[in-house]
Amino acid sequence: MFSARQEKQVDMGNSRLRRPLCYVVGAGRTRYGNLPDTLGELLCEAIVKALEDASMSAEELGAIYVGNFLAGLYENQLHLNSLLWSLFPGLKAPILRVEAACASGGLAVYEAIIGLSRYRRTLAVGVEKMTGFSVQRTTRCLASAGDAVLDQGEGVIFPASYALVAQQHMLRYGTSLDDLAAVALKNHTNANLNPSAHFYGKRVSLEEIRAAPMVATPLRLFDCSPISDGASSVVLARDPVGDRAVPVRGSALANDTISLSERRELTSFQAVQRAAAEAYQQAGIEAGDIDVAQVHDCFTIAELVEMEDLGLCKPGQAAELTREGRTALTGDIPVNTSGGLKADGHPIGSTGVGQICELVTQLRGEAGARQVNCTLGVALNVGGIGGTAVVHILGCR
Amino acid sequence: MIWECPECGRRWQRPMRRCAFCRCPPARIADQTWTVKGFSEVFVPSPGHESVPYFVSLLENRRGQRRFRKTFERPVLGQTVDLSPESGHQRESLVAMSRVGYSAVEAVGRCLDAIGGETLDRSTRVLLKPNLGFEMPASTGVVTNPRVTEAVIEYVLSHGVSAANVSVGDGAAIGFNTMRAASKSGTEEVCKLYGLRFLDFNLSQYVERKAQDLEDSMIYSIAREVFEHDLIINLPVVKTHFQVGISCSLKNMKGVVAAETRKRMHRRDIHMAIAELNSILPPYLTVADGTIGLEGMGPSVLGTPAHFGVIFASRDPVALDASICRLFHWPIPRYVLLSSQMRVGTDDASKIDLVGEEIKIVEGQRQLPDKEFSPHPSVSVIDGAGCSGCSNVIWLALQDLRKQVDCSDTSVSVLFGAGGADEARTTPHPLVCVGACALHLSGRSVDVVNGCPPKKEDITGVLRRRLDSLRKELRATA
Repeated sequence: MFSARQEKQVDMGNSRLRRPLCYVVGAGRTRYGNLPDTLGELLCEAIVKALEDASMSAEELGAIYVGNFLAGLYENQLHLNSLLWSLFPGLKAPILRVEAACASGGLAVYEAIIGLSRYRRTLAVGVEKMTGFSVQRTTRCLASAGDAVLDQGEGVIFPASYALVAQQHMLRYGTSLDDLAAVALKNHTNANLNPSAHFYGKRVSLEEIRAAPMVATPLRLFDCSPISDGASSVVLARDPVGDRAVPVRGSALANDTISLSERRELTSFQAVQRAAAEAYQQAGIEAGDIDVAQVHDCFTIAELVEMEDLGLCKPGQAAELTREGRTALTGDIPVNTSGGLKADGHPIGSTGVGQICELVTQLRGEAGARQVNCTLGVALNVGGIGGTAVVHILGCR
Repeated sequence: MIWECPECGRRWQRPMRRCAFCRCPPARIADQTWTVKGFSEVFVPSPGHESVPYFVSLLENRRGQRRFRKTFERPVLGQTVDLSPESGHQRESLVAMSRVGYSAVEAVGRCLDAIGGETLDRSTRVLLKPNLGFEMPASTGVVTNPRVTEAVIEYVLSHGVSAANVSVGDGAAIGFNTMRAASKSGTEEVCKLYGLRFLDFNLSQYVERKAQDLEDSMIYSIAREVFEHDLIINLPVVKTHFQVGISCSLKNMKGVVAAETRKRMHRRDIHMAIAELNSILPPYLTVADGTIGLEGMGPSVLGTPAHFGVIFASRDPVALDASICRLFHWPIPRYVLLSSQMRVGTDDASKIDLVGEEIKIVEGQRQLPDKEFSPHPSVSVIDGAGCSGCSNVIWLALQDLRKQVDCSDTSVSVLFGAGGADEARTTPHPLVCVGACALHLSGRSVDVVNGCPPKKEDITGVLRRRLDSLRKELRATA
């Protein structure tokens, strides 16, 4: 059932909607979590699932874009495009590896869409193998998305960067620790309806969230996304193939400085605002037309900031929306239906592609227990502390 | 430090030679007063930040520019933070330190301002003495980073000194060419950029001096120019030294003496000689380059580059060397203690003010040289107190030999330097004497490689032949 807000917006949106850029004709992903699979196995599983979903063979692809962030740092495994060819020997399609920290997956999709100007069908795949390494090593590897001197030299690891954003948001808008806990609880609740999620089956109480160990004040363990393995993939086509194709209406990327210390604004991400504005313009819609959102909640505060930057609410109002349950599956603007990075998991290279998979699943009406009523969705994938933002708009067949 | 384009007003927190939009050279703005805009207490350790919890503060200046700062001291929201180290000091000696970040200019400026007190004018004659001992680029951590030299030059010139009165000079280690070392390190380019005179102390006229207070002091031939300047700024690299422990402020001044004096310093007792030399030299101040130094088997090719990321400065070279040893958990070398006894400065921690950074932020265990180390498993090296003219060539020769000769159970000992007679007598392996200083021990040796310094190819050749013949003997016996 559509809410009154949604019906009105879709009516308005349809009258303004522009021609789709392309279509997602296949989507597939692995489970996220602490998995025994190798990087190659994860890649293979996600790609094969996406191709099966598209009823297509690998030979039909014009180009493949691989998003990955950490394999070089963790496993000394770079040259992933060649690695992928080893998995699919004989492919004629060129394969490219792209990287933009946590936005690597979103960037792969963005590039795959651009690739459609040359090829009829392209595939974007994101992959990450993160488990099996020490916390110190992981923290150091993740910190490489920040400035080596300005951030890393001063011990500003990513939880600390987002902690500083959280503190500023609290000082400016009165956002509370309970608001952050509400985000975590909502996303864990959603993940319990997603059998592929990292924390599927893990029941979490508000008390548990509030009592979790401190990571970087004011952020506690449950404010942080987990260390996950996983891969996801989408097949894109110029034309709708089959009756399950989902139109892509906007695809935009914007950048900002690598260090938070170089920014004027501390409670919003300008790159997200700019990418969103461009994507909405491409689609011919406004933020109010969106009725499902996958946002980059690497930390709970990020979900609130990004909802505001996407224009889903006014600055400082995201916490209120969350408190009122409007971002839950039953709300009028469900956010992170899969469980988000927080509870679905955050295998970095995969995350941005996985968000598109979730949107496709929701827009096709195939999300099962976590299905929401939606026709137009947004996916936001963020790299670093807002240094890269990739926004995609999907829906309205 | 902020770089700001005077045309378009764009700002950067990293060095920019030209604005990418206007192509103007940006102005540099250094602000020392900041306000704590926000902070977080971090509980997760990571490499380089193992000790937790610590705090990261987001600081903001009056222009609205921001920067991060790590501390172990809890910050207070809204608190004003003055990043300039306090210039006055209560104790006998003061050592200033500053982390470098993207700007050596800012760090050097902070340190020199902290130790302050120098009156400079157009006519002040200034001599900068970097470490250009070897023909190696600064990225190796072996020689002084030209960015640090440049930062000191800028500081001196900005205080009114005429470029015509500023000289940069050093004498490369025996077997190396100073001009090539200056060129390879990037120092020559910096001198040309600022129109400064470069001095090769290996080609200087020398003044002979001996320590007045010591009856048995040796005579040191010191480059004349050292006594012709009003201010000497010593610019050593912070690095380990396999013979004397560390090479920093006191040890770097060895570069102002004649090559022959350096050899005699090693033969005498290198620790005593470094102390004596420093007691003879005019007072100098030190800006120690800890941007990239060495740990492990310094001071040259076998050392491991270490990104300390810190600049140190002091008027007391003994206090500076002793403080660095304490910060990096290195034993204080004997020459530092002897220098203290000779009143070159003080090594007494209770008499030293260490300012500029929280000690806990800078300190940490750094690797020491391994006295038993040899680059070739079949060759043990006996250090007979030779100088780097031999040691450096031997290290390079053994590295080459490792590529040429398989490791086996045959063994050879290599001796260099005038000492080491006892070890030469007791070594169970065939002995190869290398270098002119070791020739007097050649009676017992199987092979000799002459030269001062000896040639790398000669050492490799002799050792290869010796190891091959030993292997043949071994096979014949078997």
